[in-house]
Formats: sequence, C-alpha cells, structure tokens
Amino acid sequence: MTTNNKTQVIAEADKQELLIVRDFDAPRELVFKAFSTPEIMVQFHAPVGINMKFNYADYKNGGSYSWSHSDNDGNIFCTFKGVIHEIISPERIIQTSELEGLPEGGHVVLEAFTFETLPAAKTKLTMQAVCRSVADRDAMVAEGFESGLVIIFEQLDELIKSGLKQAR
Amino acid sequence: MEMRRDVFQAIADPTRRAILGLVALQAMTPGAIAEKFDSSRQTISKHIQILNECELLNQTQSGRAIYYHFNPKKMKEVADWLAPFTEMWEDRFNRLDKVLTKLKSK
Repeated sequence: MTTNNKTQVIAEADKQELLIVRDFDAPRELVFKAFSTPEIMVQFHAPVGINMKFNYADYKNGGSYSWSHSDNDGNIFCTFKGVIHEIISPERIIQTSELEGLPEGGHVVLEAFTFETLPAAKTKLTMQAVCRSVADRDAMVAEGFESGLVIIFEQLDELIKSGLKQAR
Repeated sequence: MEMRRDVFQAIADPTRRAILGLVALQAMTPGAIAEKFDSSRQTISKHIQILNECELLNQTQSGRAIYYHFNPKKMKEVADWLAPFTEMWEDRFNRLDKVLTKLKSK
C-alpha cells in the first residue's frame, strides 16, 4: 500500500540543524514502536539490497545502541552508535548518533524524534537533528547526496532532455 | 573552436558518470580510477580532465600523487541538493508504511 504522505526535509543554509517531518497512517504507539524496536527497524531502515544488523541495542533511558549496514557478502558500509538520552513512550525519543570509523571522532549528532497524534489515528513524526557545526550538518546531507547520485542523474537526464528541447 | 564544457555536457557521458560515482565514495588517484575501466588510461585521463574543468572534482595533492574527489557543491548548482537526502528518507518511510500496515493487521 502506498500513501500520499510526503516527507519534508528542512535544512536552512548556515544552520546546524535539520528537520525531517512525515505523517503516517498509523497510531503513534505503533510509529513510536517502529523507531525503538530493533526487530522492526531492520525491516525498513536500510535501502533495498542492504542489510541492517544491530550490534547491541537497549532502548531505555540511559541505554545505548549500535547498528551496521552491510551488503549480502557481509561487507559493512557504515556503523552508527549512540546513547538514549530520554525515551518516553509514545511521545519522544532523544538520542545521540555518530558515524564510526571517521578519521576524526566527535562528529556526534543529537536526534530528537517527536510523535504527535493527528486526527483519524494518524501520526506526525518530527525528527530534529542538531549537529556540532554547520559543516557537520552539510556533510550529513551530503551523505544522502552521494548515495543518491543515481537519483540526481535521473533528474539531470530530465533536465538535459528538456534543455535540449528548448535549445532546438 | 573552443569547446563548450559545461556540467550538463560533462555528466551526459556514462563513463564520466561512473567516474563521479567512484570518486563520490572516496578520493582516488587517476591511476586507481583508470584501473576500474577497460578503456585506455589516456581516455580516462581525458574524462577526468573534462570533469575537473567543470569543477565537478576537488583536487588534493598528497606527496607526488593527485587525488580526485567528487565536488557536491557544483552539483548543487544544477540540482536541488536536498532532493537525494529527502529521497533517501522518503524511501525509508515508504518501507515503514508497509511495516506499519502489517503491524496494524496483527
């Protein structure tokens, strides 16, 4: 089933934060559960063809987690770790997140997931990510940028086509 | 006649796209890039030159070796730079929609 719920990403220039907002056609207890239960998270978090595995997970106040994305041969693409600062079911999760294996440590991100009940048993998820610098925030967007190169190229194909048409 | 080298022209070529895909993941020397292709080193070198002229590559010197890395800033000029990041999350959330539907019916 596909829904018409659109993902909104707000990343203003020269800011350390970004917001990701999305509605879900499910009660917030369920959406909250999806972001705090490793067995559910592995079902949707990784892109198609990539496997997600938790190295450890303890979703409680003061708990911690670590997960990796890998291919079918077990080659690990990335490992993220963090601690759970606060988890209030089914309202919010505040946690840290850091990509492991960077040449320089300390590029940690503060993530706050807020789950709001909407009419008709829908839920609004707002994820606020606060980075330590504007450069860190831009790098975070660029990760998606780089892995999304294919999408960019498809967009550009369209642009090129329409550009060529105009030029004629 | 001077050839017009713009970003669109640069990325219209599949080999140059493949090169961008490689250096998006990590900085690479021209030699390491050429090894990934069947074409001659000279041909690849020409492609790299075009990408470099269009500022699609960042260049760093390490000793005698030159490393090329993808320059996302240039791409920002021609495409909405947030789009792929948004797409990545949209993709993730669409999968979650399906998981939620399954969980609801339990």
